[in-house]
Amino acid sequence: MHRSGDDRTVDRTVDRTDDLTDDLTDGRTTVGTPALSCTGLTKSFGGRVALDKVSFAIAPGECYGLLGPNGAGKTTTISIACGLLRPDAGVVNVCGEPITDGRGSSMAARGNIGYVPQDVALYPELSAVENLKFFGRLYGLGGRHLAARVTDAVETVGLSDRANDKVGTYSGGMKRRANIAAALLHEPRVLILDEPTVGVDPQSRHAILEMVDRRRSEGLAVLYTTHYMEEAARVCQRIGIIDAGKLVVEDTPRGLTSRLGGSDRIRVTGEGDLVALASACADLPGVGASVVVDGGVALTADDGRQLIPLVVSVAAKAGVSLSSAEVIEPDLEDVFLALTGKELRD
Amino acid sequence: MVAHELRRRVRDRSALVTGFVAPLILTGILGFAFAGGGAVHPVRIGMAVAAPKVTVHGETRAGSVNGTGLVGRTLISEVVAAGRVAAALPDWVSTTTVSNPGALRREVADGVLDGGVIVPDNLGLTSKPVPDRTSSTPFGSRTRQSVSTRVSTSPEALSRLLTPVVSPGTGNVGDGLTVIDNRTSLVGAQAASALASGIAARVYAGVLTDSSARSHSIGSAVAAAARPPDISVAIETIGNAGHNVLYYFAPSIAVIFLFITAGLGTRALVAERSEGTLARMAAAPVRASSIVMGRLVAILGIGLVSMVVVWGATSLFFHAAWGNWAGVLLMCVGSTVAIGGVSVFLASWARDERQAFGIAMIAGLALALLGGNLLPPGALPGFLSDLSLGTPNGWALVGFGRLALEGAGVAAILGPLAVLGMIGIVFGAAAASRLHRMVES
Ligand SMILES: Nc1ncnc2c1ncn2[C@@H]1O[C@H](COP(=O)(O)OP(=O)(O)OP(=O)(O)O)[C@@H](O)[C@H]1O
Ligand SMILES: [Mg+2]
Repeated sequence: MHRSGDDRTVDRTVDRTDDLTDDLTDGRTTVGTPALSCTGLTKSFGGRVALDKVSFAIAPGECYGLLGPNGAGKTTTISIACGLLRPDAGVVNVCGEPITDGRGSSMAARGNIGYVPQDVALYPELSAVENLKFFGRLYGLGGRHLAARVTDAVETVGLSDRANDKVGTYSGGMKRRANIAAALLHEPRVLILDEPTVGVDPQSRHAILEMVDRRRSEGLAVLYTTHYMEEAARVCQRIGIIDAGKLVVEDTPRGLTSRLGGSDRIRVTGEGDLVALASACADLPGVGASVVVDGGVALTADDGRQLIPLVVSVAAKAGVSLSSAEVIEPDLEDVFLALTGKELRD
Repeated sequence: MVAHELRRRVRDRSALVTGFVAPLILTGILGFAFAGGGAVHPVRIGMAVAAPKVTVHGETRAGSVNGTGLVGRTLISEVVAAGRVAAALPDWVSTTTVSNPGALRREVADGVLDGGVIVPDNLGLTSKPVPDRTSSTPFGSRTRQSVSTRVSTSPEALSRLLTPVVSPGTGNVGDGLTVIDNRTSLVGAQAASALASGIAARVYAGVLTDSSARSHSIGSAVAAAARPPDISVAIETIGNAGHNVLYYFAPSIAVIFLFITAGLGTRALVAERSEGTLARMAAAPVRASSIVMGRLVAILGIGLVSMVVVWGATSLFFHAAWGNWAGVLLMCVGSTVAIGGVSVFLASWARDERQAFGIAMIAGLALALLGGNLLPPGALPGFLSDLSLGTPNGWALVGFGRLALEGAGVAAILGPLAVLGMIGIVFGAAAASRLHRMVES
């Protein structure tokens, strides 16, 4: 694993984050009424701050990824968004309706949310159909409409052939899919998923991501929390990175990666005057940083692939014989590392 | 694996309590109640004066020779307080005076007393109609019957003693003595019967003297009479026909079932919290209060069903008679609300499922012991029998006891029912607020 050792890059990103957060609170990033908006969510548990002024908004047809390590505050955010937990400060609006009105909770706002808990929350002694019927009734569904919705939801998650088996007999992936089906029954306008793919086999994971993307393209707003960068990059239009209760940065997956020195990283190895090579490279067009590292030179550049031939010729002039040259396109793991100084996964 | 399981068990304090403490308490109380065949546990016999039936102008009404019950009271104080009979009773039998026969029957039925003797005010006098004003009372003329005046100390001897005078099942209080037998008390009826025969014997023996120098001594009056009357002793068993401890234990069992169902219900709710289904419910457009009330009603409903099942099953298979059905139904509802409320409230403090059931079971066992559910009425030592009225199940048993043992109607259980209702309201509300917090966070 490569790491960002470039302090300058990190500083720049943090500056930009501040700008972006300001933009966000100005409401510039969303147009029209968002399906879900959270503003200034703050929550402490006995002195420990779990959430600190977290704000974001999700438009219909958009999937928003909340990315963060264990204990970052993802589940706390979701619990508040679903009205399960009262924030110390902050407001949640679902399709323009506050989730809590005065002291009670708004039934209309809750009815628009489909909530997929982090852990499978179904009765193991009941079949998927029985579970779905029970939860469907809580959302005011009944009769033939409920039966049709249950059939549809079971089909959506690909459980039709096991729908009448007890949930307790399902595999981990099947349980998770049934867990999601229970949130789709009442055709919510906002789908909130708390790490839906943890401990799931590749097929189930693929099915879940496909399903989320399909529903989103049909106009559903999705809040998706995960540890997995590649999942977020795949299904989310925007990603917010949360760490220690703070929303550190928010951008599109491409926008986030371009924050790392705005560019690719190039690493060349060779023998000769590496210092001369580094300073010569710094004068090349499009190069951000150029430093000598162990046995070579590391560069950041806007477009690494175009820069390689130039670096090779500069190296020849500097009398350095190159043994390798590679372009490393940054991924979200690097973004996370650069922003928080932590690895995303434990 | 075994070591791991044992370690987990020992860490969990409720396992220690259910494993060691509770059995020790149970053993202790059982030992206390039955130790030494009653040597520790005194038998309490109550006595009351009954106004004799007097027919005036063809109408039978309650009355007494002099309208004050003085004759009966004198008899009791002569026979018992002065120690003439009481001294001959074994020292584990104690006697007490109760204000009237109704109160005496109730105390015997409730297990406060082990037995009772009702002494008619005109004991030893004829049962012919006598006008109230008449002070010259005619006496019978038959010769003395030979009844031993010695009272043996062994229960067997006591009951043998009764044979000549007891005519069981007459059902007629009349002007003779009436022994009140609580069938669930082990030796109460024998002791009460012995006391009755002692009284009768003293009356016949003519040894009763009026120590306060009243105009005439009753005993000597009887003795002096040409024809002493028969003194009948009737045994009145509290409750319905048949001698069955199940009359008392059937409601006890039903009450214990309540603790179990309430504990299981609360455990299920705590499990739902940890499994997340509770959060999923709370996220739905349903008020937390309706989730809580739904749960509470379900728990209590199952409790009520379990009581009714015990009622039906014991009646059907063991011919237990619970008494007035409307009263029993009311008592079932009252007991369910009170005991269910207490049990859910206590269990709601549990952090996990195991604790929830553990708490309900420990509380259930402790309350069952304190309330006297595990022992026949009267078997609890005195201070514990007072303590039993600090428990909802103790009150439940008072109510059920009145219905089954006393054959009382709905009116007689309104008191216990009110207490149970109050307990139910207070603890039901407390339990609901606990569950509400469980759903909300
Ligand atoms: N009910 C609670 N009581 C006390 N502390 C809590 C509670 N819920 C959450 N926390 C704390 O708040 C912080 C954020 O927790 P949260 O569950 O939101 O993290 P997360 O991002 O969902 O983590 P994970 O990826 O492990 O699910 C943690 O430090 C956690 O210990
Ligand atoms: Mg979480």
